[in-house]
Amino acid sequence: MIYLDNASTSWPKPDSVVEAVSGYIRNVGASPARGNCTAALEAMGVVLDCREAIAEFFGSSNPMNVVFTHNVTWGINTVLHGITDPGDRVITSTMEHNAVTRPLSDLKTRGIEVTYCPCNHLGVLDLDAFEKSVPGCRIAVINHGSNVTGTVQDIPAISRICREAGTVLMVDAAQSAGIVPVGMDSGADIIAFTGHKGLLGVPGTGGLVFADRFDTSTVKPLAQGGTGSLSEETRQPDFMPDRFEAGTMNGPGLAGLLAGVGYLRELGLDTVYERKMKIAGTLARGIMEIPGARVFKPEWGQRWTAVVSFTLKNSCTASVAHYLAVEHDICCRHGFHCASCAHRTIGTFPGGTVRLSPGIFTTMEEIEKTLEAVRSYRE
Amino acid sequence: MSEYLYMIFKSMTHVLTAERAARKHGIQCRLVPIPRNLSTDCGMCVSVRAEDGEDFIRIAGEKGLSPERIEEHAGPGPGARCYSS
Repeated sequence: MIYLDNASTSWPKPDSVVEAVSGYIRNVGASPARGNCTAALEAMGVVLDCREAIAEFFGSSNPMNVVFTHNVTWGINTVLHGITDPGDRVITSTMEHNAVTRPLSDLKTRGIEVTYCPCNHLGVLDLDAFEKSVPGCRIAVINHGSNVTGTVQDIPAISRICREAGTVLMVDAAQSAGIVPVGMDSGADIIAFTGHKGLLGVPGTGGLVFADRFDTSTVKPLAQGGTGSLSEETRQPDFMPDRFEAGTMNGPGLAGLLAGVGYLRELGLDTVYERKMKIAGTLARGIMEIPGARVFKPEWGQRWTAVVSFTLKNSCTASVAHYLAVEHDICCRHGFHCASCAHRTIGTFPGGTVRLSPGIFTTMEEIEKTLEAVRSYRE
Repeated sequence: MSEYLYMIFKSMTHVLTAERAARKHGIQCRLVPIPRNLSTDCGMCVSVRAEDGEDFIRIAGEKGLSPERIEEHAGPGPGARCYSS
């Protein structure tokens, strides 16, 4: 099998991640922050290690401002639902994933106005239009790296605009974290991340990193429940991180995420990026050379999250993906990739694209085989 | 004056963070269950020697944490044992 769907979830995982997850299940087992037996304390230690590693990864000085959620979608929903009230306005871009557009659609039914700021055909946000629309907005939520084109937005510039307008900025780093640099030094107030893509952890992990200056009491939690703290009280604790962490923590998942971040730290993000650019660049160039093929990516030399979205003239994207899967055992994604809004922006609606997303373990040989397979496709 | 202090925090995350930081600074401390007469919470707190109390509070403060409650006690604490991270 050739796995080219790392933008959905990264695979394979480093051995250290597999060992950390299975080691937790085999040897730790207990629920973090519940009870005082050795295993429970060890479990809590793993969660705290992971919290500290994530804080360090995103350049936060305070691990208490790292909140773990089930995934990035849950984190984004927590903030969007928790910070807005009827009459508020939210601004976003036309390159967002459904993790953003769907909660925003729901908020619209609750009296919250939503402004979609345009992006160009490569998915780059129109900063002038953004600057004009931001004043008066409660929050801006912006996709850092597009899961459709790999386009990377200029977060420092966006955060400067938001800061001047007094608008909170939440960055959706689902596609970028672990591939291109993204951290609190970008000026973001909140970074939403997932653990199972570029950070090399397993599904069921993700969260939010709040800037130290950000007042987390302005965000109501999405869920309430047991935290292992203030158990005598029926109200949800108001302090961090317990405020947003109701219910049993995903100990095995966080053990894996800790190992994934450790693997990246050892490898170095520059090495990861360089490796991905080499592989994805070869793939994109190869696809571009195929008659009738069109690749949707940022201009060469621009930051890119190494996803190769393409169409073949007069071909259905589902058929291409099916052909690659059945005839060549190549895993990829076709259609809208849960981001129909982005396809309207880049002009690939309603057909969508075929998306090939290499990972850090993808080999050049696999890329050559994939190019050969795409060349051999006939409608 | 009692020989030990219970340092009681709001959450296990805070307890463990403070305890780790203190250990890194060479302060001997133990994680112990919070005595029921001090709190009905089912969590744990840190037991430190009274002479280390001020240093412990300072180090926890550097992590943005401060004990919710500090109580004197005579021994290392019920069921006390070391937990090294």
